[in-house]
Amino acid sequence: MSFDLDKWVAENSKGNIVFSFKGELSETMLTDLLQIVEDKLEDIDFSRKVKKKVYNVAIESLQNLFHHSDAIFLNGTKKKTAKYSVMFIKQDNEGFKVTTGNFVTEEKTVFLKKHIEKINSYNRDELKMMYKDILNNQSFSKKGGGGLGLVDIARKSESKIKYNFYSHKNSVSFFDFSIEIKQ
Amino acid sequence: MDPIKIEGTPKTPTVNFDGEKGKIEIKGRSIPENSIEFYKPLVDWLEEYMKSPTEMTEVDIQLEYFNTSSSKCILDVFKKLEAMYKGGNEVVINWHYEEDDEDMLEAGEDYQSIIKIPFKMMEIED
Repeated sequence: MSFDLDKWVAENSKGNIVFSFKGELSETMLTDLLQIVEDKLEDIDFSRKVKKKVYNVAIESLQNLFHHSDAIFLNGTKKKTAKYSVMFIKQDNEGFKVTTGNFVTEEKTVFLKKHIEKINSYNRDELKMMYKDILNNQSFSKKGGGGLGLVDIARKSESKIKYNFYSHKNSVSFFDFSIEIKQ
Repeated sequence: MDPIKIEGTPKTPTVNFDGEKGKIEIKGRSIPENSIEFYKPLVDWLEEYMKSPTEMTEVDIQLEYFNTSSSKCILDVFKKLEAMYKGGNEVVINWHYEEDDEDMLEAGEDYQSIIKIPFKMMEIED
């Protein structure tokens, strides 16, 4: 059975949504969306320090979705395949939660699982070491490099990454990612 | 050599590289999707500048936000400056950060521990 995207979106749309996006990202859209996120955060009465962290996480998350999503076949659309992705930012009294969803190939699933497990097992100092190691020792491509974005997200949010992979079809899985940024 | 003057945009920083004065400045935001494209001319300029730099090169970095793809490019800029410093030229990096922005201070400290050039951490007061 393939993954039920609509159900996932419905389940994750509960709560106080500050920002949401569903669809295929383009470079110009990315620029506009970042501006929207910034404006929305600006209007919320919350500590500037936390809001800055949320914006940082939003930048890395949206750019991850843009660069690392894989195409799937979508029924009922003009385009046969699309790099469909989803992002939500929710807020409650304690802080914010950024959730993203996108489709990735088997190969990326293996890397992501290993990478996130490592990040989640590290404390603050170990994450700092990991960040510096990737920054200084690994080569970067146009798309970024070595999973530095996720390390940065974990460092800035100071919380553990929650994730899940749901198998879709043709060796493609849905990557469900979320992180909390609290006061 | 010709200076570099680039106006900032919501996604790319203001850049002023002045070879005659030995002043290098990157300010604003650096969050483009393709950072390599933006930084390549800057790194090339430094490559040329380092052949005959002024006695003292002063670098000011004042970023509000930068993404991880820029972080590598900024390191490439610093590595050119480090090579100049190791070649016996005076270089100082002023890393400006907003009051209370511990993440930006920490980012500066990360670079400071990788790059062997004198860094000055400078808090911008409101």
